[in-house]
Amino acid sequence: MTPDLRRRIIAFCSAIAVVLLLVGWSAFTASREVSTLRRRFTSAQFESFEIAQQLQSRVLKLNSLLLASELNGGTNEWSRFQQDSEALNDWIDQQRDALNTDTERSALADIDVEYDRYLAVAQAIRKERSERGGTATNRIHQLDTAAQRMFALGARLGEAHRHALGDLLGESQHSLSKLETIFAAGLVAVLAVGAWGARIFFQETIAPLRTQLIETQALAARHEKLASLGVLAAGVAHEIRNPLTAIKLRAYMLRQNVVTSTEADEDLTVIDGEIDRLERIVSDFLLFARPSDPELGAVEPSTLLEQTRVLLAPELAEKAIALTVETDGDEMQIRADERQLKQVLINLVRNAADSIGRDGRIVLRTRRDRITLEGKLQDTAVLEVADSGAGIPADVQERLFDPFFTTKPTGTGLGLSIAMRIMERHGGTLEFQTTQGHGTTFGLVLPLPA
Amino acid sequence: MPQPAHTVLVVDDDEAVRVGLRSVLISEKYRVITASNGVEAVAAFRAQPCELALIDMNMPVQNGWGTIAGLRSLAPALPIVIITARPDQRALARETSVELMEKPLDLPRLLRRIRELLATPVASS
Repeated sequence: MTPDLRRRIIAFCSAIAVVLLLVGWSAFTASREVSTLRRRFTSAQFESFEIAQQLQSRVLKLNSLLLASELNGGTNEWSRFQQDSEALNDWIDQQRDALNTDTERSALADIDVEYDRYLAVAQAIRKERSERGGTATNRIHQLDTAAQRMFALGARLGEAHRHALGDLLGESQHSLSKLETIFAAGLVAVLAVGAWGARIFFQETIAPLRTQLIETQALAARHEKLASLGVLAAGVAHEIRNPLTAIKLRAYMLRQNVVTSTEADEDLTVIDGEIDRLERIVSDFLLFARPSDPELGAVEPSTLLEQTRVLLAPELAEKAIALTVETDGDEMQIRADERQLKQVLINLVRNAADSIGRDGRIVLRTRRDRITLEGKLQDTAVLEVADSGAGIPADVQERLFDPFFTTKPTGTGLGLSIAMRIMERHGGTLEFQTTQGHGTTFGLVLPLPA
Repeated sequence: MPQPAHTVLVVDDDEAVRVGLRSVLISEKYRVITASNGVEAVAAFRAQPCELALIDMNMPVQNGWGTIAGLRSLAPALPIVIITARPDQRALARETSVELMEKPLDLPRLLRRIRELLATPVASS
């Protein structure tokens, strides 16, 4: 697993954790809001608008009991009055627990005070009746006033209650909107993380697998094609080399009877040259179609570049082309067939020289890179051949690695095909960058040992 | 040439190559026996032993390796040079320590090598 993939998986898990926290928080907030709403609605049912009416009817009943006890002078009504007044007292106390607002509570407190006054008047009436046998009219008036005040306060309480309920409904509306928002946000977050996760999963797992599959299929098809090409090439080589041998033998015999510098001698020289050319085509084609397996050993790229320079610098100097090696002190080591790599380097340097013609510069250097080879992203060593030549035209670039494609008057057109085949046999590749009029850089890309 | 002519056996199924090689070797003063496959080669050797054999690999009836085995069973020290047009025989030749030259032959090199091999005293058996 690459560090990059690990980082993404950690990020994905963190995002899931955040979403879970978010969902948990929403659930907690929602349940709190719902329980608040439930409590408020319960109390709202309990605290009906009938609070004023109830108070009024209870007081009126007390009034009538008191008046009845006044008229009849009976103790029965008085004791019922006492019972009911006690019950009303309890009722008033009970209301206190269910009230929510200060206005409601202050109205109830006023009712309480007024009720005490009412009871005091009632007690006074009872007492005066037992002492004097009658009731003063002003006492009745006092009682009536106290009762009226209580009614007014009851109405005030009812009013306050309606207000409170209005506020409550407003708040509930607000809570419900908040709940809606929380759930919508939660849903969006879950969908977003889901979509993001799916995208990451696709990018990290499915897409690379698909690319790898396509590359592997292409690679397999190419290997299959090259394998059958190898068999074909061996057969063709056999069929061509035998007649070529026969021609060569006959030409050898002819030469023994030919005097030098005659026309026949010239003919034979041409024949020998053409035989060599045919043989070169056959052996190049064989190199391309069935390159020998690389004999892998430890190779230092910088040493290899220096050896190539020493080998080719003299012949390039004749064309005023400077061949140099640039090193940055990075001592890499690769596993490769030194002879085959040198063959590729020589081929590339000669191509570069052909591209320059006269007067120019070819630089050999190494660098490290991370490149996808055989479907895997790998650390690689790149051996570069950079020239100051003409660059490669676009139409030539497309066919650069096609076997038998050449822009030179002589040449089999197999050099780069062979070079590519050799690099592939090393598990590497051959790449190039070119700018018209500025030059071309070829890179031998080789996997670095892990 | 004062010394007696050496005999070279040429085994190749390709008539043009066989005849051409024969002409070249005769012009170099060798006695030449030819055969177009391994069975003929062994029979020819029985009839008249040679001191060196040039053997093609790709032949009908019996291929080069069978021919080499047959000849070596009669003359274990017989110098042999494989001459082949096939590109895939090099590794096997190296493993079995038999000399190999690929067609089209480098004639000066082949003739030089034949001279060297025949000059070695262990040549005939």
